[in-house]
Amino acid sequence: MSSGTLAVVLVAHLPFVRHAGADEVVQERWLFDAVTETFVPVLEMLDGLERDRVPCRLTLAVSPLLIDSLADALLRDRYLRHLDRLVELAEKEERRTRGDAALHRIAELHLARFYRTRAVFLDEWQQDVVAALRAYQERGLIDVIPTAATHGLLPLLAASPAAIRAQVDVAAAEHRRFFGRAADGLWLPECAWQPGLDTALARAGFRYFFVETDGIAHATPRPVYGVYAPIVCDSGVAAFGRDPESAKPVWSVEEGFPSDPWYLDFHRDVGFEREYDYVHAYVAPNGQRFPTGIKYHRRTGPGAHPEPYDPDRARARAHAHADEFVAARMRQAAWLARNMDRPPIIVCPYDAALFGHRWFEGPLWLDAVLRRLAAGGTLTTATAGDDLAAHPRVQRATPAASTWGWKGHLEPWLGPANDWVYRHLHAAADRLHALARRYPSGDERTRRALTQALRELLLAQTSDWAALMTRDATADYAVRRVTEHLVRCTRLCSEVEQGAVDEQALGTLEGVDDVFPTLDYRVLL
Amino acid sequence: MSIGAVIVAGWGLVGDWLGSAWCDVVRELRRHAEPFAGRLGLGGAGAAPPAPAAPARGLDQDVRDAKFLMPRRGPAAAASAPDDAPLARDGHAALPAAYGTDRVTLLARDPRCLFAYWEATAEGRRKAAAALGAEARAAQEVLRIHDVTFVATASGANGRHAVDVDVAGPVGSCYVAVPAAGGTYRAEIGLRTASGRFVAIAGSEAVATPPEQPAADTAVRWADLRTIDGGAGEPLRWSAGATGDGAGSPAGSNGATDQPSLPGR
Repeated sequence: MSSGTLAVVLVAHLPFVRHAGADEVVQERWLFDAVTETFVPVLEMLDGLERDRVPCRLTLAVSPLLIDSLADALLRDRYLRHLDRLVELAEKEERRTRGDAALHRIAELHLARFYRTRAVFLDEWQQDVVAALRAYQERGLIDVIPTAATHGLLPLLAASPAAIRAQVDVAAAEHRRFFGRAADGLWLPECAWQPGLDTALARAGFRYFFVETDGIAHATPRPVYGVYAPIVCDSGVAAFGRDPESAKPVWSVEEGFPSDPWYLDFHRDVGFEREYDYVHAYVAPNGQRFPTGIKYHRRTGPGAHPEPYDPDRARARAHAHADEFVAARMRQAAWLARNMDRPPIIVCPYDAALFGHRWFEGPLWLDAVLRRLAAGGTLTTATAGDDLAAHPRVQRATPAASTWGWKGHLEPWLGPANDWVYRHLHAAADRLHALARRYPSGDERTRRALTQALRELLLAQTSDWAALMTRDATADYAVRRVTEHLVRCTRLCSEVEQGAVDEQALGTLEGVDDVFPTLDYRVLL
Repeated sequence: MSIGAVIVAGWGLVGDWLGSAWCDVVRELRRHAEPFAGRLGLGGAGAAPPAPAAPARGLDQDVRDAKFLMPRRGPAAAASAPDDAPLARDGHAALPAAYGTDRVTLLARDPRCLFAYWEATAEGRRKAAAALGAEARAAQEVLRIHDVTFVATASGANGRHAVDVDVAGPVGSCYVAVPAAGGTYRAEIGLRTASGRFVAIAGSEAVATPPEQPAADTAVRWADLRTIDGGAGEPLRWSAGATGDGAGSPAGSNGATDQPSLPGR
């Protein structure tokens, strides 16, 4: 008999990195790595589970912005070119390491991985990752839900209610466009919640969202079951809280499972370690050294003598870590079930980039976890929507404001490095909202200009820009991106106000920042 | 199992990380009734919030770093590609320095820290100065933070306490430390005379800082989600057939039952 459910949520998001007017840029690698190192291995893992008739239900929260990028023809072409170069480098590495059995085995592993990735992407998915996601969803293996449209951090945008409506309503509309049906739940970007946001979610038809542990722990009134059962806001939208016990072992690359010394070292990469002339065609587009994904060593720590990666030992460690995780969750669920009047739900949300990209063995670990859960029979996997359907009697309470960022609140996105941006984001949203009210049925040119202005505003609202401004390596790019989008937004607003829309410039912008093709600025109203 | 038993057993066992005994409503009221400026000393512009007890990096930071890899600069690097061109940190200078609107906006960064930004136009300052008359000459521009916790009106004028932060310049921002988590605050930007007269140029909406403790309110009410219509892309509404009032209103109490009807074990 089931003692509870485990809700694993993998959250995938990247900012809009399509640079149509330029040659390939390094930021596009963020997207390419997500496909090669996360989407392909995780979905391949699901194939294996389905083939072996292992029941599982996962939630994939994918930002509409990332969905749009995955569906983009230009980025697909560029990804394929990138993949071809990876295959070429892996073939060179296979030849180069033939004299060293330990390294050659790893080179073969990477070559096989890239061959397989290419076959999956090109032949099985026909270059359409979104269609693949849709197919897995239709087969019941995953439930895809959106994040806010461009992963805007909603509490920091709430000074302009129209901006919240746009982020939430566009998310709902984009999900319907790609998946042909409404999404049950919404992933709040960075788990960032404040009371009142549920009104916008209810209006868009979302039934649930997720919050950080403290969001439930400090909810009003006090939730009877803590984070192990949902609560429902006055709007009718339910909130699920993150289980703290299952977070750190997986999230922490310094103390958790990913820190194991037998796992592949993320930081040692041929892009940094081979002679420059040998790798320069495979590193960053501007020739700077950049990881290629081909790595040979296990985690021996900084300064230590590098040891070759041993795939068998790594696999054994992944299985041992899966045993440990599942045993702990089963004990936890059994203990909770004895003291609850409904089966507990243990919510485990993780950044999808952990699986395969940051933690190479992550998909292997997750596969082992899901197989052990299925074999154990007492703890089943489910989505939050499944839980609400099975247990519709829910305590009424409102979660407390919280995020899953450092210290549980907004500091990573609101500090000396990035606080200047909110003045401009709020002003642009208010100005655009006023224009939408002034021109609720504008002519075609006005409609296009205001819609493109909204596109630019949404792109400026992406939460990553504020976070990336806190890191030296990415600050310049983040500042420029948010500035560019805001300048474009305000210029279009000025042109509409003056009745002087520059159609040629507008057309160019529509081609450059081309997300959400069915967007309509009246979503602000 | 009675609801009391659920609370005692469920809360104590399910969430022992949450602790057990917490302040009650009276203690909350007393805490907010104290003059908060005198308790911890409200910070001025740029005042640092209380030192955090949290680790220096969040668990998510390493994954975030791994997602947003950037090239390593070195002697072998070729010329920068267009999108790697260095940009000065003041790159946002392309944005307006001011918007020509009197405004103050308050954001609750964490339980004990607010962030405020403001703009006071020349016209707004002139009007405020005119209202102050001769005293305006020596008036100081201040950001006034009102503690409006438990105050029903949106205006901060009848808030329990207020503290002023001296500011300079028509456009600015600052962090303000507040002593009590779970409070509600409102800001005004305005002029204050030596005698204490204050005329506002602009006011903010009220914002609430998150609580740091579990709620004192332990009332338990249940809702049956089957009484909610909508979903699948339609707005959620409590069913008109559900018990209680507010039929059709998402904020109504339909579908709620004060007495739990818990399934058997």
